[in-house]
Amino acid sequence: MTLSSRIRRLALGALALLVHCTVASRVLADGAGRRWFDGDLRTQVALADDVARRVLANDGPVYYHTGIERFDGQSAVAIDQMALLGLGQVVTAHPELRERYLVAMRAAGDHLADPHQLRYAARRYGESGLVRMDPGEGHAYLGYAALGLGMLRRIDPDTPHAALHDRIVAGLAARMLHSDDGLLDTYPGERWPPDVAAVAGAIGLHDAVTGTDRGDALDRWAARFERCAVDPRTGFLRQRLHGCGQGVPRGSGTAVGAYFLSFVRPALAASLERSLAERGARSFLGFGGLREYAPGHAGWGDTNSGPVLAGVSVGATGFGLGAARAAGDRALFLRLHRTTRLFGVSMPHDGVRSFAAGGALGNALLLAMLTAETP
Amino acid sequence: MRRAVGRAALRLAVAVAVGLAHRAVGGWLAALDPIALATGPGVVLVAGLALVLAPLRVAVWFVLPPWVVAGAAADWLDARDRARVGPGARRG
Repeated sequence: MTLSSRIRRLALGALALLVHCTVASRVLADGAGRRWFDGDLRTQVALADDVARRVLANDGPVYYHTGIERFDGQSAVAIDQMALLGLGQVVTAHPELRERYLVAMRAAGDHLADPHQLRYAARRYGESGLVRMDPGEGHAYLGYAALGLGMLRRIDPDTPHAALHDRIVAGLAARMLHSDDGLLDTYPGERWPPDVAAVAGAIGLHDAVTGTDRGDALDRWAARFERCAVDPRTGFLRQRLHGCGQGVPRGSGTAVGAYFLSFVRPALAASLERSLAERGARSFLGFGGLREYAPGHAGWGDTNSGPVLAGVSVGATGFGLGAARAAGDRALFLRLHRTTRLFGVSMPHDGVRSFAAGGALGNALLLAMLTAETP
Repeated sequence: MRRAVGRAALRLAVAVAVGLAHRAVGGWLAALDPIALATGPGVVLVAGLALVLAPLRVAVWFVLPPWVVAGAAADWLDARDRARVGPGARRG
């Protein structure tokens, strides 16, 4: 091989690598990204079957047994809630699939209604809110279970958990709608606006499935919540509140909060999504991500955000899919989907397709985000 | 030219083999729950699978397509050069 041939070979290789890297994300991911955004039935069923299978395969209301009670309990609530939301969204879009997923949805509902899943909360309050909610106690962690049960009720109006659902939502609504700052404690002394967004979403979904009308009270609540929990400079939601207007605004909480709020106040949800798209979106070679900390803030990752790399977090990016789809933001959805598909390792197996890096938790979360409803 | 075609076929065969290995390892991991395994005695299995899968994924997404295309193009150009030089050399 001559020297000129070697140089030509190297130049061709470099050129092909450069061209490929600039188009690879689009070529390898955008077909599926468009199918997800457009609500393609086969694409949704391939992941929904996997999520339903994992819920049904689990023996008991807890999925992971790390010995860390709060992680085991919270991850179980998240799996069952997100499985219910994802499967419910799929069934709402394709009602012919109701019977296919009803058994798994009922199983997830049974898990959420089981007080064993909330042992970690019972330690903080003496009893979990499923059993008792005393005056002065917040119990905002129940927003997750209540949102999941609301979706179960939308698909299965005769669910035996309807009375429990009514009781939880009534207790949460009484606390949240009469709060001065629109917030309530998740645990004693802990106020997390993304959890309160889940509570608000649960109230909105309860109203929708039962015909209850709390519209005016929710409008007044939204104004108070926005004043205290949304950072006016960046438009991000504060992750944990240490007083009205005090707390670090973060991407993961903003993204998941936008998804939850899409069930109750779509305009507020869209406003949070716009802030993420304008001030939180980053892109490299077409792969998009959302920064964890709002501009002007910095910090490490935690259990809420997952790993943070170059300022971009797994949590913000994954939840951002739901925020973007709910807001009808196709461009951001496609960019975030490319990254999710690459790093989540979307793979076919056993007649389904799921994310190899996700397990029961990641796949349930992604099903809910990828099928988020545009109000 | 026949040599260029042979090399292109070889590159394609390597790419397909790596792609199938990527799909097999990824499919195996997808059927498991890496979080459940990583928090128990299966941590070694998950780490091993991730170590195998990561380079395979980088190869499938970023390296193999340009390697096949650029390699085939370079082989074809080399073969064309040899074909041009060959008759001339014989005339000389």
